[in-house]
Amino acid sequence: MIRNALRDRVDAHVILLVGLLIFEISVFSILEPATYPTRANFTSMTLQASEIGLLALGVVLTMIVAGIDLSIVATANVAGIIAARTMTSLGGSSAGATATAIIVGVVVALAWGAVAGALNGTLVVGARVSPILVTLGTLTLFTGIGTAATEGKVVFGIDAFTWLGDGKVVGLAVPFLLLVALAVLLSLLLARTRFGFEAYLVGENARAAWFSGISVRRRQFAMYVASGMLSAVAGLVVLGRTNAAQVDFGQSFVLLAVLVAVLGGVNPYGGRGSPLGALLAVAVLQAMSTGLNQVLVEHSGSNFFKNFAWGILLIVVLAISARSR
Amino acid sequence: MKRTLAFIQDAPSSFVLVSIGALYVAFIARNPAFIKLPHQFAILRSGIVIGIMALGLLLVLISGGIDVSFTAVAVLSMYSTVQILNGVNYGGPIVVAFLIAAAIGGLLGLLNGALISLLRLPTLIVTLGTLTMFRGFMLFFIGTDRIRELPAQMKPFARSTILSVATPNGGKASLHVGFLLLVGLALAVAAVLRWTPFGRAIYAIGGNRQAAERAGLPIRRVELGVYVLAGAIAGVAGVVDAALIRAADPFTIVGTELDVLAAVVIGGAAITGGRGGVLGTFLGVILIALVDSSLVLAGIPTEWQRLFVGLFILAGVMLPALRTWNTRTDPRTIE
Amino acid sequence: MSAVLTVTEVSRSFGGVQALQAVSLAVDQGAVHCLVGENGSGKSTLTKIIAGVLSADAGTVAMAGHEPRSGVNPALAIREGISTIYQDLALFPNLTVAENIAPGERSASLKPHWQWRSSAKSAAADALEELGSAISPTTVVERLPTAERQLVAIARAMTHRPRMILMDEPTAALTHQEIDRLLALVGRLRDEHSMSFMFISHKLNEVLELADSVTVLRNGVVASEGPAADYTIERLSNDMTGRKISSARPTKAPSGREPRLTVTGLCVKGAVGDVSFEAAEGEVIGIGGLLGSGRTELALCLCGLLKSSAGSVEIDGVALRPGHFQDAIECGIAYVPEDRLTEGLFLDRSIRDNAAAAVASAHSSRLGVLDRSALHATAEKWLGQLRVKSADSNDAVNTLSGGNQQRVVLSKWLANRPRLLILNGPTVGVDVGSRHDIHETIRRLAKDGTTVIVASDDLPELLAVTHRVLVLSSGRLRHDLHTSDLTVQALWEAISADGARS
Repeated sequence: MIRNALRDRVDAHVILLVGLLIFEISVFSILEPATYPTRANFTSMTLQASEIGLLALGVVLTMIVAGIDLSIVATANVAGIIAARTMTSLGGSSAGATATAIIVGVVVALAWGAVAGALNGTLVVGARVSPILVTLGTLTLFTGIGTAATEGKVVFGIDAFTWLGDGKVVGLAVPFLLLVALAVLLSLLLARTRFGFEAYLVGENARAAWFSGISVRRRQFAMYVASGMLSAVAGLVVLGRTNAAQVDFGQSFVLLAVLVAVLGGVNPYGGRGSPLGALLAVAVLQAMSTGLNQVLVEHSGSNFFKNFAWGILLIVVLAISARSR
Repeated sequence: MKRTLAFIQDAPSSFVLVSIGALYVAFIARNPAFIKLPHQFAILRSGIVIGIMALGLLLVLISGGIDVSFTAVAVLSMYSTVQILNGVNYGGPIVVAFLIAAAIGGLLGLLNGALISLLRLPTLIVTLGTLTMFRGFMLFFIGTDRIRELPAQMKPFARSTILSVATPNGGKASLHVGFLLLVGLALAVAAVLRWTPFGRAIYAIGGNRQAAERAGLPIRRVELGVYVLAGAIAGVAGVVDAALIRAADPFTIVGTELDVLAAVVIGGAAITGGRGGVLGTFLGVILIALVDSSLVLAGIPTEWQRLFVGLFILAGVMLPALRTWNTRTDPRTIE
Repeated sequence: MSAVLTVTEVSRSFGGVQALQAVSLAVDQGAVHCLVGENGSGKSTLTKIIAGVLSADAGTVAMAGHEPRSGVNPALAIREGISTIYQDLALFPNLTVAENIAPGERSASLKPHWQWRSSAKSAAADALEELGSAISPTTVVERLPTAERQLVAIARAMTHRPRMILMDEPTAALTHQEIDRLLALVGRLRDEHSMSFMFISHKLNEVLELADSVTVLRNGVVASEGPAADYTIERLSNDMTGRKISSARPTKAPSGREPRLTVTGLCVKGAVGDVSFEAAEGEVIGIGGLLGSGRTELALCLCGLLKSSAGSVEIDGVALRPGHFQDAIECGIAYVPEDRLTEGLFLDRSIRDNAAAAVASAHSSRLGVLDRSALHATAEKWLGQLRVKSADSNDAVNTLSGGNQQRVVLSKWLANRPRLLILNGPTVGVDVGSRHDIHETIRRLAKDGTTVIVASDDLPELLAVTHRVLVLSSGRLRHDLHTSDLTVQALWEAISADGARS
């Protein structure tokens, strides 16, 4: 039956992911009973997953309106650099001065994210250039800006800001809480507002949306701006965790973020997907990565096996959901 | 006469030519030594591997797809070829190395093509997946060591040059033989695209897929052929790269996807398919190689290079958009 | 004479819609056969099945001397001697004329073939010369005007050495002179090469001028068939429409009311020239005209979806900003587009979301929070008013039949309670019951004071719902006819006579 095709598909996908997650956790818990099913391991997994998760949210949003944002990592790194520079130059001796420095740093970084996203949005929506090409171009451009500003060197932040990276609230890592909060907030926004309702319609059929009186371009533009700002948040989290920012940090994260988005049930052709799905997908991915790391700990290249497994995972999940269509 | 005119109008390369010309003028103005042969040879040399891979990517773009996995294909093919040849202590002609690498690349391309026609998903997503997969496979299962001892016949190839010129200060400037290979492959790809029904079918599918279907063209076979060919070409690029750096380095090439894509797109290939040619791609490669390797010579600090490359890419991809600017108000043209 | 093509009991359905039901026809050797029918009558579906790009659910297509077939295999159809020229011509805009013609010559073969290029060029040159055309084989097709592109498509069809050429609406985009030339060419090929043609058209005068035999399709079945000599324009139009000139007539035109819509000197570049008219509250106005007459462009321009180059549109005395659809919506204009599938519906989304697509802003707080239950209630209300039949309005809209889908599109706009409703082809591809209901809805809306504009090529529809019909041709307003004393035939003559003179 094609009945409830939409809901059935999303549900089937969620079930697939939850099943996968349970399977991974059980297998690795049996293989590595001493290290895998522990509280410490859980905390470290949530921490590691957060950065990719935040970046993936941007990809989810742009894919919902049938676009894509590949400039996320470059945007994030530049945001980190800008924040670090701002904080170190404003940071004073007093607590008050430090607080001001952090606030200004965060605001400036977020503003950068919005500007970067607005540039992407303008080129994609205004000039109607393929989003792949635009964001690949701005990826290079933003990397260039970061390189020019830092000469490719590491920029250090201020100690007080590391709370964002390794602080804990009720035993949970702050970046993880941030990710969950943003994913829930965005999901609510998409599900409960006029903007969200219309954004899905734009992604499903931009022409029909136009004929329905929806401002197609504004919806698309907003998603790119949001993606830029989410990337900036990811950049701030990296700065908090490492107390450093660097222009070529985490370049493989672009791929991972796209992987997480698609794994989470976003339709790359637009119109379907949810930030919560991406949250689930990032959990699946992290549970697998950490497990493989522990199982293959004696092997020199466990990181590389992870890459291999990610690729296979993406292809397999795509194949399964392509089949159910 | 009419044909020449049509050619000039069609040439998307005018942007590239103007850019190359402007860069040359600027570089020479800043540093007259720029025009000397050693620099020129260095530019060409730095374009060899990117150029070969660009030819494969060009085929994919014309057919209406996009491929980012070719760098992983190149390295995986090259690295396993060297391992195989070293394993059997091979001492014969180098052409065997190219053939093996092309075969491995072709197989990986076949996998790409099969997944794409099977899953019917955006080719970008599928090849992003295979990029990670191929690379992870190589680094985990085959090895991570930089192999300095290349098969016997690759060494002479690594040292061969097309022409050598003595420089005033007693050194020698030479153009690597790999450039000849690039030119040869470019001519071959151009010939396939221009003179074979297969080549025109690639354009046809990229230009109007539905019409191609209605005309009875075997779309899937053509697409599969494109990805196999792109994979094989990437394999060859991998071996050339090993020869140029005189080692089989599993960490080379990957990361240059963007430069290659930029070269092809700036050279006039449309990401929507149906448009692009070898000449334009070649010029795009030269432009990227020029920017990548020569901005320093012109007194622009290294750290500013990426910024310029980014600006060039954006300018290059904006151009086709300008052409359709005036049709944008009709709602029936929204996709 | 022997039949070249025999179609036997072909049926095909899409989703819930039966597009063709047991259709049979035969085309004779050396004859021109015309397939006639309204939009949505199944003509295009039949063409595609004959060309092998669409499969039949039941029944077969057979070329003389070949096995009957029913599956998808365009290359086989070409080999059997059927060449098809589609309405969109199916050319490769990025390739040269020679390359466009050549895939036909060696259609499904990819074998490398020395001198392929030069042989393609000479084959193309020969084919074009045979058609008496001077197009250079090395020109890129996207640089050619429409009429020349069509010649390229014909030349391509010719290189297959076909026994029959299938042409889907070949004259739609041509000027009168170009049409004459095309018809002469078809006649010559028929007489000199004994080639058969199947011509799909809705320009009836053309059909009678050229055809040897005729098949009329209506709602997916053969309404009538026979030698062309037995037909007149009147009989053709009656058979096409099934005399569905219903007893239902519009309620009397309102009189003495203020004009709601005032259009003055409206122009759209390349499509509409200097159109002026008024429409009163509660009045239903039809816009008639052939394909390419500017009908759709006028409709689009009235609601700001196309930017006018001159002139003005006023609603209740307020001038609209040209090219601003959002403004028009705020002034109470609604536009129901022509192409339901690509312009009207979000196929994978629920019926309810589709019906609610245009009213989300009216059901959200100032902060943009959507009141889902109110939104759904509004959607359900209008879905009920239009009697959309579905098990669950949460089902995807693509599970509905064409008629029900069209009702969903209408609900979407009625939910906005428009003062001026513009409908473009409101019952294309819709079953009789839905058609009746939609017409009833239009009359009811008018009675309640809504001004309605119906752009349509369905003449009985124009007669059944409108008070006045504006006839366009070449973008100009030729007639302003009162419906009360109008017959289908008179309207046909007004529309097509002008088309012939343009």
